Amino acid sequence: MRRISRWLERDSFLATILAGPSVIWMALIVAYPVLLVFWFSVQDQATFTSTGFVGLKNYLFVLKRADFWMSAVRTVAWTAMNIVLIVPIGVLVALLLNSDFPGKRLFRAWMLLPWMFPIVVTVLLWQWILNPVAGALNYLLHALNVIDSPLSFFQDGTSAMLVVVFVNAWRWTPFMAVVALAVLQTIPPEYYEAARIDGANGYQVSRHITLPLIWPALGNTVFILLIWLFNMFPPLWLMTKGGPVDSTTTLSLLIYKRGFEQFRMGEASAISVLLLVLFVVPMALIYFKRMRSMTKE
Amino acid sequence: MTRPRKALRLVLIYATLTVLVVIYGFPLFWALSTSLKTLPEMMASAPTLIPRNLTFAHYYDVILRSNFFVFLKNSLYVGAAATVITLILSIGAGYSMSRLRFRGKQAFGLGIMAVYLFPGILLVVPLFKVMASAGLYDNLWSVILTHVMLALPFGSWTLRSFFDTVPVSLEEAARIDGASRLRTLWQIYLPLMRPGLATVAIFAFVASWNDFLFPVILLSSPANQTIPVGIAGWTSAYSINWGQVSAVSVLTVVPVVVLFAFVGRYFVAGMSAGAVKG
Repeated sequence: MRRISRWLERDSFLATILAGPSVIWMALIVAYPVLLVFWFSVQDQATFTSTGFVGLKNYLFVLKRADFWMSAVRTVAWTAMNIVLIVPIGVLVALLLNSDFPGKRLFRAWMLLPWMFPIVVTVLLWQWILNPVAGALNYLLHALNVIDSPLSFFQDGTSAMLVVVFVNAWRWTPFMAVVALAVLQTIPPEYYEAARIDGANGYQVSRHITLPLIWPALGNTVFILLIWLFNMFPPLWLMTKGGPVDSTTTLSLLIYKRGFEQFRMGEASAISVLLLVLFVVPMALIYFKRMRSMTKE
Repeated sequence: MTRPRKALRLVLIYATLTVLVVIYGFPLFWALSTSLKTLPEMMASAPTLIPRNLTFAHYYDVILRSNFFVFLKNSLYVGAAATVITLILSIGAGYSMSRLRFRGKQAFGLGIMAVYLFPGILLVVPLFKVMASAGLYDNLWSVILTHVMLALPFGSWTLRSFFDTVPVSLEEAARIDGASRLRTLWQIYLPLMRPGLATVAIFAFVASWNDFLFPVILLSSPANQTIPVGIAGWTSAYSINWGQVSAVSVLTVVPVVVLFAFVGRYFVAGMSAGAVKG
């Protein structure tokens, strides 16, 4: 008994029992599946349980087809459009809420709420507004004489993509704004006072003081957001199922369609590995470089 | 600043805020309004902002004639279990990273964060097979175990920064009095870190409550659906009843709004603390 309690005072033993469970969990739920996906990608895709080694057949099959490359291009476009909307607007909203006006506390407190809605609900709320038959937006556009006949936003590939980007940006901008506001509030007020004494105007202050100061801290968030967006599945799947005719099928939707609609698990695994090697690994290298400087004490 | 300039500035601020309030408030208001309308009024060519004939029929249908409560029960169960597991793991991981010296500490910290590099979609195929061969397919625990992934990195790093803020002298004082290290963790550290624990708990619960991908892949029987998958299923029926869909949207969002009204401030503060640190 005394022996155990003496052990319990040791760093290495405590770390084993406190951090160990997380290591076991990561090994089972993340590391093992990642290894498995490599294994599945070289297995026969036609069979579900008994599999045979087929070498690089799945990869060749995937890479030969245009839909993989088209999806890759769409994934990049989807990520870029989202970032271009979410980051600048989020920072602008944060700058606005960082200024002094009556009621600012209320806005700051409730800003994050839309981000906490289930994505399914967010999608349903907007699908109803955008509905071609009785949707509020069509009615409004018609009443303002902008359109003659109702628009079907999901019938055309480009407009479907733009609509999903808008809805997704609607959801993530508050998150960006909360993070940006938190970072803004760490800037000492003396900086602003000094700039004001020197006669800088609002734009100059933002451009030369605020943005250079908040950017390094925002970098981490933008980076994680980039990874999340690149692999994002629910908004696209729920709003368009990847259609019309694949025009909103990004790589994550392609994986889902191959794996869980056509049950071609080998191919789905090959796409996952390609996504991992071509995107996640390079991002991970950058990430570790950034993180290493942070974890050093 | 001069008076007119100050006034102009306020006008500009409130004008922008009004636009934001409309863009963010209207969808929810519209769902609330739709959920209380009769079918003809809902589909009328000139929609009304406020229902002319109030009806609770859609709520009646959703609550009494659908599986909504089954979905709700599953979502609560999965969310609560995932939150508890995430909290336990994050406390251990955060304490180790903040207060202990051990081999592989840096690799451990990087490894936990690296979980965010493998988003769900990359893991769905293998996880589906792992859970199937473990006999956990169509079992809520398969989703609970994977949902830990959504918040463990955030939780460990947030709690690590909260552990960092507790003065070491408090732990030393407790140990001089003869308390073991685990007891100090439980009785000295955790009570001081309540805001951090609350932030992690809310993050974990909301992430699980909202997730669509893992339940749709790992669960199959209607009795095991969570709210997001359950209501997504209603809308894939060939004709969507927007009254019911609006009612269920409102019902799903209300708990989030209520929770947010009580703890939102602390949550935002906790998340902000994490963002500033990392």
